[in-house]
Amino acid sequence: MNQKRFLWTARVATFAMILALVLAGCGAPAAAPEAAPAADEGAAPAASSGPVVNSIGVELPADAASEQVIRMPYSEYTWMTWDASVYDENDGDVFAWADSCVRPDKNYDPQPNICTSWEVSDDGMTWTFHMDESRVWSDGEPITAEDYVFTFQRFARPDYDFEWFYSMANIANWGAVVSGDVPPEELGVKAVDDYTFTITTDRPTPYLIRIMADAWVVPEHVVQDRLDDGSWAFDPEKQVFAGPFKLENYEKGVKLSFVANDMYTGPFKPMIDRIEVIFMDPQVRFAAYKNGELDYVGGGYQQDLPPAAMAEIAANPELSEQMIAWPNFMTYYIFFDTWNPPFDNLQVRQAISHAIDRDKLVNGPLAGQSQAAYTMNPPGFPGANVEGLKDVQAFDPELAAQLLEEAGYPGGEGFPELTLYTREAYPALTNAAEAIAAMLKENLGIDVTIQNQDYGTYMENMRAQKVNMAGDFNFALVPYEFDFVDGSNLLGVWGGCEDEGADMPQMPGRHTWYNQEYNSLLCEAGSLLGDEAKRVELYQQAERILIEDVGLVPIYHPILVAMVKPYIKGPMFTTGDSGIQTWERFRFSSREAMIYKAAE
Amino acid sequence: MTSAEATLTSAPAQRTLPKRSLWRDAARRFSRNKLAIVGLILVIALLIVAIFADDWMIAPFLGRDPEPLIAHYHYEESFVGPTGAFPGREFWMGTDLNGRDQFSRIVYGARISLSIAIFSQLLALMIGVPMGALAGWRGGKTDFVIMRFVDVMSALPVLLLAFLIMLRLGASYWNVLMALAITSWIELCRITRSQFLMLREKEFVEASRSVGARSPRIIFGHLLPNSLAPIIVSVTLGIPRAIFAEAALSFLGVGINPPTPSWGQMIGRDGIANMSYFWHLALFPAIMIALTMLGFTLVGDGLRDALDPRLVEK
Repeated sequence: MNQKRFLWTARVATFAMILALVLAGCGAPAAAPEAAPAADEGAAPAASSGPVVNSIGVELPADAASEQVIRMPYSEYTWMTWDASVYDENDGDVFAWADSCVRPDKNYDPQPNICTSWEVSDDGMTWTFHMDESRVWSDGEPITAEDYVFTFQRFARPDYDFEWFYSMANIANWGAVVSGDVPPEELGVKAVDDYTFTITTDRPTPYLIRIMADAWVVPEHVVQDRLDDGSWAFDPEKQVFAGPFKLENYEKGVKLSFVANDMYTGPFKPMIDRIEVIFMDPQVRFAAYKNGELDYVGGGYQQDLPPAAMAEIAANPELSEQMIAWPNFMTYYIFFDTWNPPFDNLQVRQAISHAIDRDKLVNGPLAGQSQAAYTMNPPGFPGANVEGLKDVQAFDPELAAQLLEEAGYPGGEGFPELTLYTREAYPALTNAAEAIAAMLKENLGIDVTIQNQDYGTYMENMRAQKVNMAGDFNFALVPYEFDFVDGSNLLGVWGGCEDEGADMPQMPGRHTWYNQEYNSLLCEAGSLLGDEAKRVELYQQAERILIEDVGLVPIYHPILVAMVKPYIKGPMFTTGDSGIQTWERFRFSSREAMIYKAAE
Repeated sequence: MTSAEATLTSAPAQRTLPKRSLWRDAARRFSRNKLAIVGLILVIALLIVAIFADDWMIAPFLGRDPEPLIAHYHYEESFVGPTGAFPGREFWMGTDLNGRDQFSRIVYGARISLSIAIFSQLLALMIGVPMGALAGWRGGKTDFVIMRFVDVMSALPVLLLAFLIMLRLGASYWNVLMALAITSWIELCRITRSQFLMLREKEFVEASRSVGARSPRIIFGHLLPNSLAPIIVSVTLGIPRAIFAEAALSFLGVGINPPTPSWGQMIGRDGIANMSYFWHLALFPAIMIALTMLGFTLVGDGLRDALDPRLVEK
């Protein structure tokens, strides 16, 4: 035996073993050691008696620590401002450095912020907003009505990935400005004086005020070009901030650092002096949290706290106490191409809806981070009718098999093999999809494979299926998360006001399902003013049609889970009317301005 | 002189000499190589596991779906136990997060890994050997064109190329096979060409040409059989590489589509993310990948030693 060869073989074997294991570690760089930041510039009177104040003179609670620094994990994205991109943006910043017209409270109701008051005309088509005259950008320039006119003209540009969201406000001439058919000055957003602006709409839009929670103001005096691609915010000289914090430093690949904005005069004065947004692979975040390198982890979409972390937390009382869990207004559902075989047959869709045991999913692969869904509108959402609809698609394997047989596929015989498409699935979602495939196989005899696609490919295929009214993309799993808290939002995914003479592919909604009655109910409710009870009733009628016609098979509503260190305190932890405690940045905003660090 | 001649031609002397051929010699050398035998046992065991995971070979005659033989459950069967159970008496390798028996999934995974590796190498053989033979036999412009193409291909990192092909084709069993075949015929092509270049100048080839043998006869009668040894070694050593490549592709999520199990996919999806608590999810598939690669590498090495005595004598 050749000695050298033997060594080489042994080395290959070892290497294989190590590689197989190391494949694991891929993309999991060790967290950068935390440099101790000196953030006590202003908090000098530490030893003296009397109230402790932070670097910008905000009085802190008696138990506050001398160093007000919070460290949070994040993934790095490309752009640096909301008006450049919403899907590829370092939005760790948005809520800290940007500021919006109104702010939702813990019951999701809009409260004054930059806009201190507003009124709507009797016909419901004109909104007038009055602004806080004391508010300035971090360079001292006032935040004016002109900034808001510019902001909306800027959002109404064709290459903006969140343009579709603002289009839901029905602002006059929106579509024409986006397509360039009319000049931006024609947009229905006008300045009345320096601190008053109006928005006119095409039709009454009662939920417009809720969209104003995402009216993140853009500094016209800095950006100037309405069509700028967003590069303006890469220049540190140009960056100005309206919110409670301002960017101090952006270390590419390492972290973003924010400090309290001393020019801020709004209602959310920060107690924290400094925020460290550390770029970190999701897989290492929980370990970093346990090591004390982070002050919180989680609150995202089930990647920071994988099942192993959840099991570890459940087994450890100390960790369990640090956990906060709250339901997200979001629905994962299966949709079909209901315009083509085999899913044009209602019985086939019903069979599938009855063959999926949601309880097994939410107690199995999705344990602790989901609740079973039988409706599009999640519990607690305006217009939701969870109790009234929960039996329509209840799990019933015998009924499912019977329905499939009546549809002409006894025991799945002759039924085409299906591909269940998923969109950028995280591991637990793929597990759930696999469990669904197994249930369809067991209960209906249908063979299902799962194919995951990236966001762009998936959405392109989904659109193409509708435009062509044909194709292979006929069975897929996708989430929809609320944009604003109004009954029109999630149901709008399935329809809305029909344009006269529209062809099927041009019908409102993103899916290959159509129901005229549903659309007229949604359209009526969407422009109904001053009668919320009636609106809720209309939305409930519409959702019943959607669920009974099995346009979709709702699977689960995610529950968000976060771990927060016990020394993080503040008004953030008070609950709303629902009694649920959250650790949510999304649509609450200013979370970092509503917490402080207590002495350990 | 005469005595020597007599010894050489005398009939009894032949009895004392063992019957020798290249293959017989190789088999003898191989069987003396303990490590190679260990590898062979590993490979055979894995092949048995892969083939007899379920009774696919008789199921069609019984008119039913295949039922598990070595595996305890079908790989798709969910919630047969609690989710994430640790290894124990009932579930030898624990259960995964869907409550599936991990042992069964590992067993079915062997079928995927081995079949992809072996078939992709056979496919590579079918591309690489004719291309190499063509280049080596024809020479000149044909050789130049083929070899420049091979140069370009070998300049690309294999895994990256396979990854890009998978992105283009989309994840599926057959596409993984294609991608791995496309990326692994290069070496076979080079080996075949160099063998042909060397052999076609040899005296026995000249001799057969001089008695009027045509090209096909020379190629299939002389060149190919004499090139076989290095080709076999290369294919055998290509198998562990292919297993690893498949695992890597599935790990990255562009390999085998779920719910079909693959070891790489098992590690990549749930294994790693949950290693801190559910350690069994990554450990067992990793051990299987390592054992399989080890087995084939040992066999390949043994074959090389056995078929190429010059290397051993060095």
